[in-house]
Parts: sequence; C-alpha cells; structure tokens
Amino acid sequence: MIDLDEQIAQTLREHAEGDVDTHRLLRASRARGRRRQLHRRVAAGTALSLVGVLGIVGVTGTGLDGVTDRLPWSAATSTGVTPVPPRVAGVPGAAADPALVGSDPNVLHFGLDPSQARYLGWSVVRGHLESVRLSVRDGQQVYVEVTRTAGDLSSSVEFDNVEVDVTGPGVQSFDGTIHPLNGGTSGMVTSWHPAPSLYARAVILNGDGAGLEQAVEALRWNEARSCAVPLRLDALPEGAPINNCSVDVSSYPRLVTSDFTIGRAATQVMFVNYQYASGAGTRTAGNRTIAGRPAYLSPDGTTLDLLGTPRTEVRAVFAWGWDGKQPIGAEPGASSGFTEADATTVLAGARVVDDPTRPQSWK
Amino acid sequence: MTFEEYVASRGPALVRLARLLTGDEHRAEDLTQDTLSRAYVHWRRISRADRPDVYVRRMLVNANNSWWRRRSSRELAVDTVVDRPQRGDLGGEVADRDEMWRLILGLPERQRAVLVLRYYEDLDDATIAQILDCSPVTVRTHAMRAFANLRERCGAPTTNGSRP
Repeated sequence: MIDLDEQIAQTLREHAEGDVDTHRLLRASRARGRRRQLHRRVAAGTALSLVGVLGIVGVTGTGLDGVTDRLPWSAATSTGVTPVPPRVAGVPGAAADPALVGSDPNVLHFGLDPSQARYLGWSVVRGHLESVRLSVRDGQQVYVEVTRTAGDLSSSVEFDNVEVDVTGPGVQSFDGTIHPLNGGTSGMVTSWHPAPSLYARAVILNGDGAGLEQAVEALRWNEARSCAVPLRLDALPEGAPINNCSVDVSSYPRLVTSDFTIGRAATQVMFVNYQYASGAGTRTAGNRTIAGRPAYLSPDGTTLDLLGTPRTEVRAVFAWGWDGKQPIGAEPGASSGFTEADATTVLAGARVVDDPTRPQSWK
Repeated sequence: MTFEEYVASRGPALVRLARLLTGDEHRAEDLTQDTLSRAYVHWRRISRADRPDVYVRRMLVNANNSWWRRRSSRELAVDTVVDRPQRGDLGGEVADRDEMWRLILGLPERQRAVLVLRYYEDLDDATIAQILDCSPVTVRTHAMRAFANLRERCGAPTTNGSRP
C-alpha cells in the first residue's frame, strides 16, 4: 500500500499531465494583455467618450496606473521621506469648490495629512475623477477616489493584481457606513459625500474598519496639490491636451513611474510613460534623434523612446495594433489618431528630472 | 527575459499548475491566459523582480482564488464521494487516485494550493509562503489540515512519510 504522500503526488502528476500549445498560449495571452493595457489606459485617462465609441463596457481599474503593479515582496519599502505632491497656492480645495474636482489634470483638489498616512500614488483624470493611493498603520493600502458624478466611481479596484469588486448593497448610499467587500474578499469599503455634490469612495484590502477610518480621517479636503511628476511635457500636438496624469511612488525610491494620457477629438489618444528604476542601465543606442537626444522608434512603428537619461525610460505610445481582436465597434487596424511626428513633438518638449529621488525637483 | 521567452519556457508549467488548482482543463487555460495577460501589462516590472516566476505563480493563485470567490458555491462536494473501492488491486489503485483527486478538489482553496505547490511543484515552505502571501507557519498549518482532511475522508493510515 502506498503512503498518503505518494498517493497525493501521483494523483497530482496524473491530473497535471497533458499537452500544452505554447504558441496558442502566447498568442492569446498577449492579445488579452494588449486589450487589458488598452482598457487600463482608457480607464486611466482617455476621454471616457472613447469607451462609448469603442464599445468597451464594464471598464474597471482606477487609473492609478502602476500602483497596483507594486511587487509585494521585492519592492524596496521606503524608509525615508517619500514624495508628497506640493501644495498649490491660491487654488481652493474640493470642499470650498466641488466643481474644481477633475477640472485640471495637473491639480488634485484634496490631500493627506502626512502624519497619518503616506502617499503611494496619485492621479487625476480630466473631467472625471481624482484619486490617491495611500498606506496607513502597518502598511495597509487604501485607495480613495472622488468624483462629481457617482457613475464615474470605479466599479472595481486592483490591489497587487487582485481585482476587488467595490460595488454592492449599501455602498451606493454614500452615508459613510463601512461595508465588507463583496464576494468574500477580505477588506472594507465606504462611500460618502466629502462636500455637497461630491462622491467619494475608499477601499482597503486585507485591512479592517479602523484602518479605513484612519485613512478617511487623514484626507484633507481644504487644500489643493499639484499632480507632481518627474517629467514635464512642455510641447503637445495641436489640439491635444493632457487628459490624465498619474504617479506611482509605492516602491520609492527604487522605482518611480508616471503616466500621461494625451487626447484629441475624443477618440484619439497617445500615452507617455515614464519609469525610473534605480537598478536599470542607460539606453543610448537609438535610430532617431529628437532635440539633440537619441531616440528609438520600435520596429512596429508604434512607440518612440527618448533615450540617454540614466536609469530612466520615457516612452510615447502613439499607435497600437488590435492583434485581430479589436474592441467592439472599432475597425480592424483602427488608428490611434497620432503619428510619429506627434510623438516627436511631445518628446522634444519633455523635461526629465535628473534624479527623481529628489522630489523637490519634480514639476 | 522577455515576456515571450518567459511564456515559452514557463507557460506549460503554469497551465499544469492551473489544471491542479482549477480541476478543469478549459478553466485552467483561461486562468493561465488571464494571469499572463496581467503579467504582460506589468512585464517590465515583473521581469526585474528577483524571482519573476514566483511572482507570476502568485498572480495565478490569486486569480484562481478570486474566481472562486465570485461563485456562491463549489460544484464539487466532498461528501458526495461514495462507493470507496477495494484496495489492493490495480483497478483499485486507479480508483483510489480518482477518489483522491475528488478529495483534493474538495479541499479549501488554500489547503489545495499548498498541497499542489508542495507535492507537484516541489517547492519549499518559504517559497510557498511567498506565493500565498502568508508565513511558512501558516503554510505548514494548511498542509497539516489538508492532510487531516484527506486522512479522515479516504481512511488512509497515518504515515511517517508525510512531510511536516
């Protein structure tokens, strides 16, 4: 008679067996990844009218791109002072003028008391929402967002690649009651009106009600802060403003990422991604020159990288392929509406800080 | 390592792991594709992790748990296992493994994940703890409970070979 150990091992081997079509797996995963990337970017900052045009329904995610990417055990936990978006003088907070929420992609109309919570990231989506990701107590992560329309609040939030449904009975009451998350997920959610005509929601995963209450208490609605980033875009294509600004400092100072979305004519979009990694090298071998700096156009002609900044990548994604599985309503091979010339314009005007671990130099 | 290189080298192992976590061939393929699609989005970061494969396996386990949580009830109920075969013959051994498989699928998610990671992936408790985002002590607790469950339900004798 075989023992239980061996019986378990045999049983598992037997049921794990079977051929795997690696090519199909790669094709399908990549295609789904690209669609997911597009959805995240749409959620992050593209004019949401794009959602209607492309027929993407049930867009999830929060727009704080990158914060959810934090590598849970390998990321350096910051032990020193972490970046705090600076106060903007002369601009009222959301409590004084709720109509300002989402009005300027460069400004957050609320902040945190740094003695009670730490910033992990922040984001503004023009015309829709402002959000902050923060940590309280023993590093419990909390996501907070505020909008002027209840329908603009995210239906789900990602924490370390776990997608959490934040809708459910009672959550739409905006009365400040703390509810457990849906579906047996460990965490809490609360919704409230921080000011008349404003809708806010805070979510904590694997945390308790006390942690969520502390996060809510740490919010300051009477101040405005800059959506400070280690990259400034001084030149934009004609008629194409910045619609979204987001920053992730959850792994600061080892890793800092930031994303901009530039939109035009509602359905046209270009993304500019910044990433600083302390362990990265410096790329200088390019096939283009932009404003005297080396740059690299990808072989498929969809991305343009600005090179030469140590440990830093700056990438403009000005086109994308649908990989044969375009969103509903989009024609196969649909264009982003932007060209290499547009991306060149943006990168020519990009000002990258030399050392993002000195947040005072951020713009 | 590029995303393509990773899928080429580790994709089949991920699918096999998913088969054991889900108990369903089609769901396993879907789960693996879903996990890899998430990894694709964050690949620049994941590829810089000390152990990207551990990170991706954690994503897979998390995604499977989330999938189960969205369902109100499990399709497989351990209590339905009946007609225990007679031991001692080849057919009996095959039947034993079928029964064992049903019992493993009936375990709580975390207990099943620990068994799979320990007995199929042959990982140590520290690595399993990283994947499950818990302590090695918790891993051992899950393993002991899984063993107790299986022993109780299949009537297996206590063995010295069981890892603590």
